[in-house]
Amino acid sequence: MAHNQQLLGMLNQLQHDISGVRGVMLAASDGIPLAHNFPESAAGRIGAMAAAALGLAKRVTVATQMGDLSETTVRGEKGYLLIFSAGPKGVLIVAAALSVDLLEATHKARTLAQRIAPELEGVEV
Amino acid sequence: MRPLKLLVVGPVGAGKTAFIQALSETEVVETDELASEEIGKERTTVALDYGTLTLDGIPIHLWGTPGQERFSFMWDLLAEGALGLVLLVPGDNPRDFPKARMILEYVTSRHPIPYMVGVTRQDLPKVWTAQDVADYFELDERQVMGMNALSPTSSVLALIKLLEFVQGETWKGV
Repeated sequence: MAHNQQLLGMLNQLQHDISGVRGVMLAASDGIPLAHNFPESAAGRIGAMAAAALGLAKRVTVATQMGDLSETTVRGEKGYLLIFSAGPKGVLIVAAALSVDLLEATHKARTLAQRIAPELEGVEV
Repeated sequence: MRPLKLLVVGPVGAGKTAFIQALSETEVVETDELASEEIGKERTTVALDYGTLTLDGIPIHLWGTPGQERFSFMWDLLAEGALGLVLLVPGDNPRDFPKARMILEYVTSRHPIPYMVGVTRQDLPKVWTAQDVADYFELDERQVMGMNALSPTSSVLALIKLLEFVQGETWKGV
């Protein structure tokens, strides 16, 4: 697996590449943060909530014959939380303002999640 | 008849998912994911378990929770509207008793609902009994029951016990 510093580098790069992104995290599938640039005090809860939301959304896709889940999005009055599956072991989380270019953010984050997934696979995280 | 919503809580590995699987007559909705911590098993519940059954004509909806404290928002969320609570405590792992007590206090202080405590793994040789756990938690021994969450019979008996607390009367059988 990439070192956490390398992971953090990739997350920071994503944030840098997309205007309006406020924070990026890679968490384990059970919600434990692996690398992130959120405030430390908020990270644990964000990881757990995103893992729960993604875990539940996975069952929704199965129940509605949509195949394997890849992502789920939460939209509030003030922003988005974009949550992507990064393979069976990871969750990529992007917090963004409402002004973000959603298509661009989704595309870039999805690409990163797919890139990180094999690095998490088959290794202890 | 309006379904009875019951909540199942307890520390990691107490047998919450197994309990719901043992009881549910419908396919259980599970949200288990790979665990990244050493928890004695490969996967762990990250959002909820959901199963349903009918007992003595009463439709029952069982909602299971994740055990880790970082998922405490799910305890709170799923407790909404619940009429009864099952706390499962792994009888072979007293190190988790403080966590179990914390979960019980967390939920019952926010949602004062009737509860019973199931002490799981009673099939193992070295295990705390219901009486031991009642003493430890300073609970009425009638509220605590030894059980095996993998066994449908044992799980139904625990459920009946809880229904007695919820309905305030002794169960009279089907």
